[in-house]
Amino acid sequence: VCDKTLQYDLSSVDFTYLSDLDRGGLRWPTDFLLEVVTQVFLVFRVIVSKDYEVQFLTCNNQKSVLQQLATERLIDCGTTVGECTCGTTMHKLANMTMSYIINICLNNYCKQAADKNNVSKQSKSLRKLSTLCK
Amino acid sequence: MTDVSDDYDPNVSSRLQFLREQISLLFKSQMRYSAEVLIIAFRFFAISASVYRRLRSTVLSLPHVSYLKRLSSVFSLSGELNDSSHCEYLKQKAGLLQPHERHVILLLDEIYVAPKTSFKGGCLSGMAANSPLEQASTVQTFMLCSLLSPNKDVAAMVPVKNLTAAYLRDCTQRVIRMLESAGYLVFCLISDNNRVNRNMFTEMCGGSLRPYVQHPCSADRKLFFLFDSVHLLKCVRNNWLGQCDSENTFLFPDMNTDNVLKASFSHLRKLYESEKDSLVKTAPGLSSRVLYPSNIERQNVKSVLKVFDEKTIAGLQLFGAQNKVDVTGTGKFLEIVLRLWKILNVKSTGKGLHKRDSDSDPIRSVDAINVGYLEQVHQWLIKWDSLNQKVRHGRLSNETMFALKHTVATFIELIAFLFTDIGVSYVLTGKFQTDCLEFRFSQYRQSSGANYNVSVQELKESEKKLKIVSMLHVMSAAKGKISLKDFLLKSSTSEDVEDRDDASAEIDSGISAFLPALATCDDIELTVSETQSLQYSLQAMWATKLFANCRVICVEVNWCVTKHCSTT
Repeated sequence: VCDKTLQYDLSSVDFTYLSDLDRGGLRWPTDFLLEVVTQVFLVFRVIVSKDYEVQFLTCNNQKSVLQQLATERLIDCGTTVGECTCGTTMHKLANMTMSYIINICLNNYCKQAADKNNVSKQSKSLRKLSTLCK
Repeated sequence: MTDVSDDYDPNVSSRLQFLREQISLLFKSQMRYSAEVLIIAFRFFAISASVYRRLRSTVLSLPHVSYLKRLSSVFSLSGELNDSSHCEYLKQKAGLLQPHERHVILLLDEIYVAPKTSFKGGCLSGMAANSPLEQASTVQTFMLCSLLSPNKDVAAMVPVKNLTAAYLRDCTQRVIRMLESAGYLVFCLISDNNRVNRNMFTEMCGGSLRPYVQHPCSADRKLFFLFDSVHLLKCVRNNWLGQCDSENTFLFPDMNTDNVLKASFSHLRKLYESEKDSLVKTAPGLSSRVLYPSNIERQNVKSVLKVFDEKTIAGLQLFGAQNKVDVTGTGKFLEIVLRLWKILNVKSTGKGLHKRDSDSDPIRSVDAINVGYLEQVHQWLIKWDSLNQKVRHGRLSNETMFALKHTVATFIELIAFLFTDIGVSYVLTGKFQTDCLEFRFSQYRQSSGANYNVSVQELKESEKKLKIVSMLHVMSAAKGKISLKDFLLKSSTSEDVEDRDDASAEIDSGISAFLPALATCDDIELTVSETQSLQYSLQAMWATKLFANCRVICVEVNWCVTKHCSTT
């Protein structure tokens, strides 16, 4: 175990966040999981970009849409080939992981939308206040 | 007419039946509930889940919450225009109604909502349909109200921001088409006197607003346009309060002669001042709130009805005679508006008999005296408009005058249409109001925790509950005792399978539009913080048992080990 873990340089900037949060219980994900999460996130980033956001928001079930797109992407990347020693396919494992990440992404998207609304409210009151300074 | 009201009003025998079942349930080891108890239970649950739990745990034997939730899962959150499951629901409900009960009025109104995006059940809600990147500030709601039965339902709910007449027209036409395809016959649209609504009506009439146009779905039918009489009554009072002169005076023509009369709101204030300290009053309805209403108090209809009241008119005449003040104009104006209101607010056949007032009788023929009075009012409004007064100098505002004239004229045409084309034996004018839609809004607010500023998600959830209650009631009324299992099975086979097919087809077609986007994923580079956040997000999954058998593949080692090793 020690040989394997030594290849990660925890002193580098890449791992400061996780090492700061760790109180002895955090686990190290495999490359497979990390790849799934990264690809889902990339797909989400593209979907909520300017070109596709409106189209995405008019969909009925955004989670299903994202899940299917991410599956397509993972198949293209060849990430979901093979199966676990217990017989579970990588495809199934990827699907289970995806659900979590998509929930997190969409939930954060909602928060972002709420923040935008708050900022516009603040700017409105600032505009009104600025009229008093004239 | 099938007695299918959404309002629960049990008779004595059904109450006794409920009590008998409760007593028998007390001594049973295995609970089995009748359909009636399930309906009552769901009604309680829909009003307040916490009260239901309290009732269940203390005094009554009622089904478990999870069972009721299973019931509610039959329907999805719906109400949007392109929702196939909602269309199916409307179709099913229309199928339970008698042919004559399918003549419906379409009510339009908007409810203000908290701008909020929420993610629940895999769907993002709260964005405006007319501008998907912005959060909705109002929800345009369409409600159908059956003319010859108490059946009413929300036809569509469209979250919008900065609604325009063109978009509203588009939505309205789609709703009408949807209802017609479900089996309903829409013959009238009613909205409040909002400029957007008026413009939408005008656009539907092809440029100038008329009482009716050719129906968009059938060439031989008519589609009428009305403004809500309750809103108009409030507008008249608000216009009166908004007159420029110190006495808030309307200068209006006499109905029978060419004389111009004065109606001053200050007369009512003087009357109130004269008797505000006495314990017995000639005009007991008048109060400070009624005569000096704040902007919020102006929304209250009851306070308007205190102004346009018989006792106020009688008290005013007495006050005028005693104090030698000429209140003839004010009295006449109040009488005209009050009589118009009485004629347009008949909701039951016995009202006129009960109140001994012929103005409150239902209209039983095209030549009825009340219809003649509507014609007189229409002529009177035309005469008043032709005086060409300045705005707020003795006249109603342009909007109110136009809407009032239009509504009175449309009512005359509509009454004739109802007798000749639909063949009704009497007309209850109070049916042509948006009251039931306003009541629906209050139900939404109440079921969302007595919260005025509800969100789109809460609105949809409340609507879902109300929809189920309504469906259960209609089914039990139309089909006798309902079997809940049959209902669940029927819904899950006919609706769910079709819905699932529709939904998956919709998602598939939706995905194809995004496929080119996948190629651009390679161009994106993740920052260090993003990578670390993603790694951390995975930690939430370890707690679940999903990866119990696959930890070798999914988890390598504890962080502490790596940390320990790196430091050593």
